Amino acid sequence: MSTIVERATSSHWSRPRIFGWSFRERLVPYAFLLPSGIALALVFFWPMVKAVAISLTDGGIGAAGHFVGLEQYKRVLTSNYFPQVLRTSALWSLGNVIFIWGIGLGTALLLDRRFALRPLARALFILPWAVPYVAAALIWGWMFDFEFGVLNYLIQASGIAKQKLAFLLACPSALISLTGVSIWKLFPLGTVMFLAGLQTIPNEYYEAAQVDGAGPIQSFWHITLPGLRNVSVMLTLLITIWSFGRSFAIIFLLTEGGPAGCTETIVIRSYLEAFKFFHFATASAMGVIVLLISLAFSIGYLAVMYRKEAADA
Amino acid sequence: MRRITISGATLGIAALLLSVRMAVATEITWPSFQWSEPNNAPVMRALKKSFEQENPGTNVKDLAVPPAVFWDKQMTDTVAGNPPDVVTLYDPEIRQYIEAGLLEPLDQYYKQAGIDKSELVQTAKLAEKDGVIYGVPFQVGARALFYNQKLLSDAGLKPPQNVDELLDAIRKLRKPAAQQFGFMTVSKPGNQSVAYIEVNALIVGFGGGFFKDGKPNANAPQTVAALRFLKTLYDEGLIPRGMDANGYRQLFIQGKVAMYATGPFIAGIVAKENKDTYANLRAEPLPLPGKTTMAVTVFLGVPKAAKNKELAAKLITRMLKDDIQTLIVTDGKTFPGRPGFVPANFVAENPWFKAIEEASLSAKSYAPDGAEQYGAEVVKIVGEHIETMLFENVSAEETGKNLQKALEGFMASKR
Repeated sequence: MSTIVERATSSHWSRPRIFGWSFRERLVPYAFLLPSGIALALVFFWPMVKAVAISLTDGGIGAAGHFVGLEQYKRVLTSNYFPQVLRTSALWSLGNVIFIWGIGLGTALLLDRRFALRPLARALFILPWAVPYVAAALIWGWMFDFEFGVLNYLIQASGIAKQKLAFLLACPSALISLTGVSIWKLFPLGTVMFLAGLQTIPNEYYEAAQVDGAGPIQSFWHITLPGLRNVSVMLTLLITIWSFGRSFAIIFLLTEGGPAGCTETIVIRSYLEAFKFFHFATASAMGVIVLLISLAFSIGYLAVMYRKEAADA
Repeated sequence: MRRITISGATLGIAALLLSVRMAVATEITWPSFQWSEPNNAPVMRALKKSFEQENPGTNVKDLAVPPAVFWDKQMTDTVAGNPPDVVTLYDPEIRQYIEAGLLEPLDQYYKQAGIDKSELVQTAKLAEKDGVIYGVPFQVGARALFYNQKLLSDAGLKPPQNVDELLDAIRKLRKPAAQQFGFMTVSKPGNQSVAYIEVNALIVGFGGGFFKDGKPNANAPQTVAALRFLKTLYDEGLIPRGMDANGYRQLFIQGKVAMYATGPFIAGIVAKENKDTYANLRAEPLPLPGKTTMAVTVFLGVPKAAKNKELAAKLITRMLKDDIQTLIVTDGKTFPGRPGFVPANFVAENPWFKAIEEASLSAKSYAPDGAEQYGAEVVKIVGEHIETMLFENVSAEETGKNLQKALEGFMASKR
């Protein structure tokens, strides 16, 4: 009996450590991750690698392309249109971040208060987020319409202005109008994040402040805002990345970058280069530039996340 | 016994798979937005039916692709090396595809079908390079002035015969209270391909053009005069502002717009959607000083990388036979690739077609003359300058000058 036990526990009978139970156990999570890893590699990393490879060639329609190094990047960065599309992308992102942050915080503070039909109000405020981009663009397109749009009708009927407003027909009103649609679509994200953040601020802080004679503004300034610092930073970074890298659907559906390039973002220009002019290498280079800019913001986002985790720990 | 049964079953499955494979091998893929167009679909289905009867075991796969995604999808599939068997191309696209070496030469199939290239419409020349033909002209969309006879006669007007009469009629027919317009053309940013086609009808009608013999021609007096005419229409609120082509075409169909410089496709749509407007639909040659017009030609081609090149080429050249050419007129209500198939009774029943027939025989391609392969980039440059003129109030003269400079710069970059 003892011999059997000795054999079973002796190093001679145990398997080599590399194939041991603990090793296989360590492999299990990776095995579970493998299918999604393969899927990600196929639909995300491979196209990304391919885009980088194409951006280093002079390939166009029907041509395989030759290696030209960073020539496409040089062409994009020194082109006449690049400063303008970069500026438009930056303005678009900035407008989105500022207003989504502001409106999101305002509505979150409103919806955090107790009042009748609060659940219904919360659902209504979330609604724009649930509307698909295409549907939102079509609805707003008709509302902005110069001849028959309801906005111009209301503006004239209420006497705000005698002349019709050219929402999408002039610059910069087109960019402002499109940014407005994007804000309308995305502010519920800010609302949800701020609402979640508000739940984490202990009520005792407000009670203590009240005892000390602090008014609502002082409480907001010294308790609420610092309490929402992490949420604010995360929301800002997320919206920046999203609006910079995804400045496409609403713009493309409503103006396609017009009038006269006024709303043409770097993403729209990249699409035009690829699918209208068949300059795949140039489009890929622009795509990589967008990726690098988004990556810079993403690194910032991750740094904030890690710092928060470290602070929580 | 059991082994024999298994072997038999295996053979059966193999035979079935083989037959399925054979069936797939003779399937000609033809994705197009035109399969869902009310005027073109019956013609295409008639061609499909005839071809399948004449070539047993062949199936023409009619894939209706929404127009919004069609061009991107077709181009992506072609460039990725997985093209459909039949591609649909407009004037600039066919030049682009030919220059990129993506299309199969069709001369031998024309010969097999008994069609001589000289029988084709003038704009079919775009499908030729070095004497080799790469496409089949499906239909020619020559531009004429379509008008609603009732709206004109209600206003006591006759069809305009010159540009002054045209402008005068447009002003008289504008009735804001009734939301009625005398004319319509593009007046919305974006979709510059459509904008280019719409505006180019006026530019060519005035005798101008953005390009001439491969050189920019945007500051030519005729081109500037056309731009001035367009700006007058916009500035005076004579055309629906901020509305895309789909929107204002609906206004025309609903009898809210009196005149429209466009191609015969509009008649097919009006016939389908509003019988009253169709009964009053007439057309005249464009009453513009140049006495010329332009056309959008829809070409069909076979990609070099297509799986069933031979059958696809036979299919599209089959379209040029007399029966389908006649159907393109009678059912499609457009002008076909080969002239001479317009039945006399059809013109009697559809009087607007007379102007289209005349225009189709002499129309120029809308693609930039001599720079067709750069069509998409030229469209973008022209579109931006026209948007600047209309929406940022730049004069027509200044626009012509700036556009000329931009086009010259662009062409210099291509040398």
